[in-house]
Amino acid sequence: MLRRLFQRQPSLPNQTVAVDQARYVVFDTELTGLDRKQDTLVSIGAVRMQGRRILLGETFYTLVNPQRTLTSDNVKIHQILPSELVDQPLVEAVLQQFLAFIGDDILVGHFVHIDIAMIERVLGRKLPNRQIDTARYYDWLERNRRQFLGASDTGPIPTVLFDIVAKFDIPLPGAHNALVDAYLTAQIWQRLLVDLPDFGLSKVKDLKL
Amino acid sequence: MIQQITIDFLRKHAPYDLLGDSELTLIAKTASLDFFPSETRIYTQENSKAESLYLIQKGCVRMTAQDANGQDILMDMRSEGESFGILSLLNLGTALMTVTTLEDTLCYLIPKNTVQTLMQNQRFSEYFLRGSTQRYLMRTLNEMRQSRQRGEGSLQTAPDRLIFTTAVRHLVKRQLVWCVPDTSIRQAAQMMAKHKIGSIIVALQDHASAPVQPLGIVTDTDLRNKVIAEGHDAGLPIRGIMTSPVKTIDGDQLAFEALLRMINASIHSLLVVDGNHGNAVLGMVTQHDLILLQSNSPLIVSKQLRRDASVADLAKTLNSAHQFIPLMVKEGVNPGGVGRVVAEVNDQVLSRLLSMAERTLGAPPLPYCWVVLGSEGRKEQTFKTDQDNGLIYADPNDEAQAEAASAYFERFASWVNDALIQCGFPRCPGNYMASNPRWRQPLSQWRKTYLTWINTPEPTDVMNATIFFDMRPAGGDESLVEALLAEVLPRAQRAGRFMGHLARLAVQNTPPVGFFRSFLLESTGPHKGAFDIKKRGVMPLTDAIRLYAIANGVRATNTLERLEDLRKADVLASEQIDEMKDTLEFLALLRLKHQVEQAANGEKPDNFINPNELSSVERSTLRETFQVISNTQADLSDRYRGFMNSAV
Repeated sequence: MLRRLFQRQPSLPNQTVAVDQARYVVFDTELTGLDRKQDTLVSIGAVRMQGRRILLGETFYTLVNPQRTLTSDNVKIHQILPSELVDQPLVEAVLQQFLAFIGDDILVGHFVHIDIAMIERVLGRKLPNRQIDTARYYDWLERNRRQFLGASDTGPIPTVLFDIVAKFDIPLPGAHNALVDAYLTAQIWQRLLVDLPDFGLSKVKDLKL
Repeated sequence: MIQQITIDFLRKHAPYDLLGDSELTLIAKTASLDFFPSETRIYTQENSKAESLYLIQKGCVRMTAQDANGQDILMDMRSEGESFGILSLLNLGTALMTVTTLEDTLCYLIPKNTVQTLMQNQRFSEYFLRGSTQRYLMRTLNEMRQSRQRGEGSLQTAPDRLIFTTAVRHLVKRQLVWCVPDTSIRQAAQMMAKHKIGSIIVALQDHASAPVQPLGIVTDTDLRNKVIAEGHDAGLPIRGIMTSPVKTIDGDQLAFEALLRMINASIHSLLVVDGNHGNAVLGMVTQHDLILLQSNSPLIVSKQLRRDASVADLAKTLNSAHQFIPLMVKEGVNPGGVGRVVAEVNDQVLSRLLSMAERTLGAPPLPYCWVVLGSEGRKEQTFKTDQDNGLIYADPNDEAQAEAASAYFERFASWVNDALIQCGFPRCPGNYMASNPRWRQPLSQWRKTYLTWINTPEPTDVMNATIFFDMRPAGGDESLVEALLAEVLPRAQRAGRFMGHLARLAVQNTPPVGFFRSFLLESTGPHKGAFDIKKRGVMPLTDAIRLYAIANGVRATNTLERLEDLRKADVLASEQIDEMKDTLEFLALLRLKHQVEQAANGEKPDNFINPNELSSVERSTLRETFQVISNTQADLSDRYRGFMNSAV
């Protein structure tokens, strides 16, 4: 146990780095379904951020051969045809590349625990990286804003990615896949990073909602 | 995918649309996207080193530069698809301006290395070289050409031309800071820090009253590149790192020439010398000074006014806008031009206030027109003066609507009058304001008021009438004013007694030419010894010309425009009109110069000119102008003698 902790230590980002200076990898996956035990990945898209800056050239995107037949529901959601996936790398290889891409950056995603759980199940181990759920941070900030800043908005706080995108008036690209969703999530995180320090979350170590 | 989104955006905006696929891909691969909340300083003048070119994906920024007093002056605004930061990136390393977001703003940041590669594309780099410092030179050149073709001095954009009319010597602000060649680098740097300057002249002087002989120059960049980067000893003499000889420019050259030289030589300062006096050193001029010359352009001010969200914001912008008046006067822009620029700016403020009032109080129940009166109506206002305004609204259809309109416009007028006060236009002492129910009426009521003045004029009514016959729509439905004047003007023309009163008024104030060709001066009161240039110079002529205009159905309100219309209508001899125009121009200029000087000294501008403050040429010209006024009055008395007698 101690040894594992010790091994993980170097891969944690410096706890005292300011949240708008830290490195993040914002990602999204598409899955064959939401069953943690049976389902697997269809694609992964990720983009890196240095503080609030989205590094547009540092992206990761790949399709995965899920080695099973996709249900028609799934095909509708992702608009990825089973024939497109046959020639794609297998999930284990993809995840190795993905791990190399993320390094020890902080992982950010919308309802990120779903994606992480799937990745960890396939890997058969936990990811050491710090994890941030934009849905959760958005909700937390919005509640604080309403309570302490007397924001007049009283409606329900949105949780769906596209509703939050609309709230921030983020331009919506025409196409949609895991990488585009990661890009949109990154732009949400970019906005949240502006306000976090005002509510006391100014260092990486504070990011533990 | 993300790259494609970036490339799609780039393709839509100049000059990126000039780039090929590989160049676009290079940007998409190396750029980042940053977000800046509203009112964030993206970088600040002088203190920031530019690392990227910024391309606005969404939002808007304002670019400001500090003048000598540390005041922020608005230079430009950029919005979606526009870039900034290129100059700092290529030329100088440090930012020339401070860039602040006006709203939440997303920017693509294109790193320096990428930009350097892109600049190898000639069309792309030409766009930027033309597009930054030189952009306004081009714009201004075009403006000048166009105005020459139109055969008029382009008054609206007068400040944009300062760069072509200002001699470099006038831009030299402070005394030259220099040091002898043996000064240590550290001491020289300390002097630069103390005086807050980016370069220092190395020079020799034989004795205290001898001319300074410049040998070389040392800039911030020299300190960085030759001293710090190379580990050069700061205790060594400055002459070891100076650049020699210093690039100079004759003080009589135009600012434009100075700027071109700086751009061509990639330097940001020039030593100004006096060619008429053995190249004696006058001081330094920097790119920054030249850029400031461009500031406060009415163009930029009007851009800002359209964005200001509150009365307080408008007041601030308006205040900065009024700073360009002295500059225009100094550079010889004629007063007519100044008046029109001021009217334009004031009208924009008013139109913003009217829409704010409508938003605050709800939509108006009936169409209305906000009118400005007197000098504002004639577009002859220069410094902020008292409010003179009124409100005309369409005739209500029934009693209920009449009541609703009356209540609404009462609140509306007070709101706008108060906001104007906040913007620095004081309450009118004569209460010629829309908040006064007398000057806030439905159209039919206004008609009655005018007709009473015209048909049964009392002397005080006629005084009122002069202000109201200079009425000009400034916001809302102009057709209401059209309708009113179309009806009342022809009636005034035929109303002998009314015209008689106007004529009497026009000759009532005579120019102050006394015996022995001396001035008739104010003999009592706080302005004893001075003369009132407005009352005894400008107003008699303005009154006379108004009379001629009304009598001949001329609808213009601006005095110079009235004169031109009278010329077309062949009412007055062309030479007479020229004389009157020259006179008005001269009086207005004298008055403006006087007021600018007062404002510069922190005094409240007034109309009382002391003959001692005039040059002998000005004094003799003034005497001639008084002769023109006397002649005009005599002529007017002749023409309207019949009317004047009927008005007794």
